[in-house]
Formats: sequence, C-alpha cells, structure tokens
Amino acid sequence: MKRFAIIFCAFVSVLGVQSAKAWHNFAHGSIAYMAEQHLSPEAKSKCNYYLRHTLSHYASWMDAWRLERFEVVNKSHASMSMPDGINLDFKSGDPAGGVMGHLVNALAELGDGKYKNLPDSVVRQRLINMAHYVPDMYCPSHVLFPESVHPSQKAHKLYEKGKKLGYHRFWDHCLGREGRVKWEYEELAAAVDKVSKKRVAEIQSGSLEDWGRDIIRLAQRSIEIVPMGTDVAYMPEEQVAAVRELVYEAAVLGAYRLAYVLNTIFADKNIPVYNDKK
Amino acid sequence: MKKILLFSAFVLSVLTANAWAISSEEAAVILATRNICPKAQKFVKKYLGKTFDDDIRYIYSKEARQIVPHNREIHYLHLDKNLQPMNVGKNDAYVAIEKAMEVVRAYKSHSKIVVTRALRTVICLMVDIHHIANIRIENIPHSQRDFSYKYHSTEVGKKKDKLEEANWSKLGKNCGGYPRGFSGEWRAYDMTIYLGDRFAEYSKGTLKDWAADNGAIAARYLAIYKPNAVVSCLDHKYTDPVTYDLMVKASCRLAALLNGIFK
Repeated sequence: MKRFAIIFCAFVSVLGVQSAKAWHNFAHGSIAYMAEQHLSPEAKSKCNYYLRHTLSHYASWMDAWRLERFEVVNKSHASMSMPDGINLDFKSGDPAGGVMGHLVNALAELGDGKYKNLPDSVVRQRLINMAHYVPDMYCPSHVLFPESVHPSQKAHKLYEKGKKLGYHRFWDHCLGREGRVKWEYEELAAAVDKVSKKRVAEIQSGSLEDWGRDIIRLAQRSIEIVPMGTDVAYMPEEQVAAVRELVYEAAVLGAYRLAYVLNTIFADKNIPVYNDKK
Repeated sequence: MKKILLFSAFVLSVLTANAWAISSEEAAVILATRNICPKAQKFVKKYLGKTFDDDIRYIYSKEARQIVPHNREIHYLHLDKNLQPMNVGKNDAYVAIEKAMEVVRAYKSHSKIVVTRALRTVICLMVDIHHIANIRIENIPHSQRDFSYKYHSTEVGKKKDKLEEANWSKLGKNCGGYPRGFSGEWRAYDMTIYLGDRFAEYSKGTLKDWAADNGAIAARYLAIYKPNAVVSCLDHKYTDPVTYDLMVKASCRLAALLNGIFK
C-alpha cells in the first residue's frame, strides 16, 4: 500500500479532489453504454439483477445525489466527501484515496466471489457507484498537479471566444461536443468505440497501479495539448483533433475498464492492486 | 350519421400528447410492441402500415398536427373522489380510449382509416393517462389545472441549496430523470430490464382498475405538490422512480389491451 502511494507521489506529488462535476451526464451515459456492450453474459445478467436498469441509467447517479444522501448511502466511503477526482487522502488511512481508493475498496468487498455474501442492496450501491467513478477516473481534468510541477487548475485559464473558461469545465464537457446537439449514446459509442482486439487486451490487463499511471499520463497530455491561455473556440484543426483523440482514449479506457471490473467481479475473480501483488 | 360522428370523434382524438418527452413515449411503445402477441403484432402492422414505434413519431409529425385540431381535454383522466372514472359527460382520455377500443375490437366492420385512427388514439392516450399530471381528481381542486411550485435544489441548509421553479405538468417529463442521450430503443431496453418478469402483474386488471391505480399515485403526489408549495429536494427526486414505473405500466397495459382483442 505504501509503495502505491509513493509511486503516485513520484508522478504528481499531490493529487487533489475536484469539487466540480466530472464528465457531464451525456459523456457518463455514453461511456456506461459502451461498457455495457462489452459485458460478459454473466456480468450482464448479474448487473441486470442487481440494478434492474442499465449501467447508463445510473451513470450519473452519484452526481445527481452527491449533495443529499451521498454520505449516507456510501458509509464505507465516508472518509471521502466527493466521489470525483483522485485524492491521495492519507489522513483517511487509505493511501490510494479518492476514486482509486473507492475502486480498491469495492474490489476488496466484491471480488473473488465475495459479492455473494453481501446483501443485494450493498452490491447494487457499489455497482451504481462504479458505473460513475470508474469512467470518472479517466477524465483528464481529475488530476490536480502540484504547483511545483504545473500551476493549479484555477490558474490554468482557458478562453472561449474571449471569455474565461475553466480548465476543468473544458475537459468535462469535451466528450460528445463535436456531435450534433441531440446525439444519442449509440452515436457517440459508434464514433469512439473503434478499438482493436490487441488494444482491448492491453487495456484490460495490468494492475490498478498501471491504471493509475494511465490516468496521470492522460492528465499530463491534456495540459500539453491545451496550454494555458488557449482560446478553445479558435484552436487549429490539429489541436482539435488532438483533444478529440485524448477524450476518446479516456472514454475507451473508462468504458473497457468498467466492463473489465464488472466481468472480473462476476467471474468470481479479482484485479491486483499492485504489479508485484504485494 | 352515427358513422360520421364516430369518425369525427376519432379524428379529434388523434392528438399530440402533452405528457412525456417523445423518446419516453417511444420507449413505452417499443416495450409494448415486445409484449404483444403475434396476432396483435400483425394487426398493428397492418393498420399502422409500419412498426409500432415509428407510428408514435407520426403523431408528433407536422402532418398530423396540421390535420388534427388540438383539444387538451382529451389528454386528461377525470376521476371522482373514489378514484373512479367520471366517464359521464366527459370527453377525456378514458372515454376516448373506450370508444377507440370499441372500434379496434370491431375492426372487421370499420374502414381501415377509422381503425388506424382509433389505434393511434389508444397508443397515444394510454401513455397519457399514466402521466400523473394528466390526472384530475374531483375532490382535489389543484389537480384540475397546471400549477407552479418550488423545490429545494439540495437539502435545506446546504451551501448550494436554492429554490427552483417548476410546473406540475412537467413532473416526470423526462421519465425518471433520464439525461439526454437515451434513444427510444435504449430506454426501452432499460425498461425491459426494469420490468423483468412482472408483465402479468403490471398488466392485470381493466382500464378502470388502471385508472384508479394511477389516480391513487397521483393523489399521493398531489398531497405534496400544491400551488406555490415548497417541496424538499428528496420529494422532488423521488418522483423520478414513480414516473418511470408508470411508464413501464403504460406499455404493459397498452400491450394487454391489444392482446385482449385476440383472446
């Protein structure tokens, strides 16, 4: 556990919690829709049993309820005040913290067939939460770099037609922006989900530690692609394409890993937290 | 003369619904299609000339709106204080569905256009009577018209709490809080999972029973939602599952009505 924390620290020193919403509802629904297409028959039937809805139905549940009953329905995550963002909350006793901490906890509770020993309502709540926060992990604006590495997100001002635009807001709303106003999940999924089998195998392997590194890489790339002061309304075509490529990659990682997490849980297996399985 | 009156009644009955968003209605109809017997499937295809769910879109088309005058009364379900349909002297959804079903049941003795319009009326209004804001209960005066209320955006006292304005007629408009992006087909799939093996349970009873069931749910909400009322955020959010459940019931009951023709 300590090692995991050190690895994270080496990359970014401090990771902060985001108070803003994560991917917007449409992006969350689309990613959950994509994940649903890659569930094993067993996982699909178990998710249907516990949720009585699709994953996309609950994809934004945590955002919708976070100001009301979040702390009540998620007692095991009481150390967290927010579901979004990566937070190395050492004080809570959970070194992975934040979103990654939620996933580590959920896998410990549900993996290796342990979900069978839990009340249905508990499993249901964990699935609802995962449908939201697993894709959220890959939202590029969910990593706050220490100021020694990069100015804070607050300072990383962007513009849209001359008006100030928050860095977080820009990335949260990127996915699906290029589509028509009333895009449906199927349409965005068709545009995004063009991954080769080889890439799927890569995505759906490794440990949570590797997944954490992917998150950080995405965040670093997002800063390089859209540097401070950019007016996003007037980005050249190559820059727009780079942004699109990044958010599509983030969506694919979120969707395939959500599917992988659920497939693993309902195959009575587990995902290692660390590479060396210590 | 009788035929002309009947024909006119059904022309008037094919109206634009003012309840759920189109894709929610579409989803209810798609789900109904999946639960009708093969004979009913064939019947629907013959009279609507296309698939069931395509037709719900037709009702909203410009063409349909131009042909058919809009009468809001037809969307409402009037119930007395015992939640029984007030079908005497009313020309509401209940009456229109009953009349339309008479024609649909006796489809062999009517022209194709009359049966087609009757069928469209049933589809449209069966969905409408499952929207609680379309239910008007005799002894609840504020159910007789639309009204505005306010709701807390979050729990009282929380930093981000603010009072939002809303209208009773819009309650559940987006069907259980579905965000944009859900196509009719994907909503129908979601509803199929939700329905599970409860089709028999949800479609049990008669039109009268269903009206009373919907009325009881509406009455429960009308006790909380009143003109100028301030509703808690939890009450507001908990309406979503109820409106969702009603939409699933609408599709099951629509399927049951159509299956009933061929029993």
